[in-house]
Amino acid sequence: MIGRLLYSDFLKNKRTSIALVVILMPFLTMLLQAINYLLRTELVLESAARLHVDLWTYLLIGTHRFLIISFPLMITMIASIIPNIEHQSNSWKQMMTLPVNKYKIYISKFLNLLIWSFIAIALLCVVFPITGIILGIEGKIPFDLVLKEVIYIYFAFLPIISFQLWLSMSIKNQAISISIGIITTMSGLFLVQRPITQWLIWAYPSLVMPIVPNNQFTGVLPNQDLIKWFFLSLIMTVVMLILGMRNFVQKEV
Amino acid sequence: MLLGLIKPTSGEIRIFGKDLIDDRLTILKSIGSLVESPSYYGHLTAYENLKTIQRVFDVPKKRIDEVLEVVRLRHVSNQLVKEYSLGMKQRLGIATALLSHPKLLILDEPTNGLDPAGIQEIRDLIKELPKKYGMTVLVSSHLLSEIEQIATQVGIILKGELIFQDSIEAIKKKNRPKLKMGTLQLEQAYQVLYKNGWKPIIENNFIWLSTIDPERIALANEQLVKEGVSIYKLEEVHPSLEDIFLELTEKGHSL
Repeated sequence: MIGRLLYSDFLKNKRTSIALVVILMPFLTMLLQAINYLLRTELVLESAARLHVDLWTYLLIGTHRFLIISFPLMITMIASIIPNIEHQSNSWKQMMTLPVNKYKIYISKFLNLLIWSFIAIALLCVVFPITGIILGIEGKIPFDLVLKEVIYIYFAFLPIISFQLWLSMSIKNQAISISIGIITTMSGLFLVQRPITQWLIWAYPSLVMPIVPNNQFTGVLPNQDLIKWFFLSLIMTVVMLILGMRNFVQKEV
Repeated sequence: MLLGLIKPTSGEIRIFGKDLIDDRLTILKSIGSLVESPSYYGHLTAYENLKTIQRVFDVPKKRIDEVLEVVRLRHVSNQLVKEYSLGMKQRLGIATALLSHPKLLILDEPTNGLDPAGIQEIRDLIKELPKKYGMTVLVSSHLLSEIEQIATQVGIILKGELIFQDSIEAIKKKNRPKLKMGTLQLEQAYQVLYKNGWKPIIENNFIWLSTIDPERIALANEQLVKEGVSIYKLEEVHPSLEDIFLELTEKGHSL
């Protein structure tokens, strides 16, 4: 049943800007990386040397720093476009008259958003090496590291996916959910600074880099806290999914 | 409420002999509906619009062509719906409602906001559905002349209560047609008729008699002319559903 709903949701995505946003996200992220690399080549080389990492790894660390901004912005946009298809055409009522459980309608929208987000981040596995090659970075491409980065960050963003969908589904005016999405994305950069605010969902993406610099910034170590953040991430995702679903099912249209 | 969009504060609803709360999904499978304005995805074509619903109901794909044929939209099925006229959108809405072979079709104000040609089209379409496909169509409307032309059974709801329900023939039989007489000498005519044993009523500057029997009308006319009252108008008036409605609801008020 969900499969059929999902198919119809993807059909509704046709001719919207979703696909464009999904493709633009990895490309723009890497474009900014390339600009950073080209404009400040010396600084980049210096920093990489200080951290004792090769240029590929350094490029990945930089990419991560951009992703924690670009990815949630993309999520915010898609999470807004998907329910807005129904908001704008006043078709919630019509959907509720289908012989389908209301919560399945919500789950289908969630999966719709989840899959698009995955496509976007998966594209990075291709766009990242290409950018590096174009920039003339030598050496072996650290595919395992790229794969880890992509998967980890996707998991860390699940609660935000869940949260933005809830907002956009329940508030008809998409300006509100988009504003909240932008503000929370920016606040994530500050929330990660203090241990107490690290528990908030917007801090997780910053915390799941596969490798982290050591305290003296003279080298990198594997990230030790991953399990904790993944666990939290999963719980928050499910909690917000359930809350959003309840909210949606109980609402009379 | 019949579709479970609004929860009733009290009471229960039974459709096809099943309880709406317990068997909502089973019941909805056999109901097609058009609620308020038609909802459509403007960025999709009519065909794609129907496909989004066809998938959910899991009916064969060729059903899409069938319903497009019924509402006569097949030739424009590959056009984006936002380019459609209101009448076409409304017909697409009906096509959507028909997709699942419903036994009951609920249409809420189906001719709202349409031009006369569009109204005619929808009306013909609604009339042909029960005949061709054997489905029951429930139409709600405040355009009573519309209902008069479409419906076989009528119900009137006043302040949430069903104050009347019967077939349209019964309603018309109950409210017999009357004879409307136009004359410049109202008072005189009234006196003459009264003397001759009629029960005339003066209303809106006309004289009303409750007979429409041709011989009786001729007789009344003759009597009047004999007394020097000239008649310029003789007309049979059939009360419209609107009149009946007003009469019924007024009764409701006075109760």
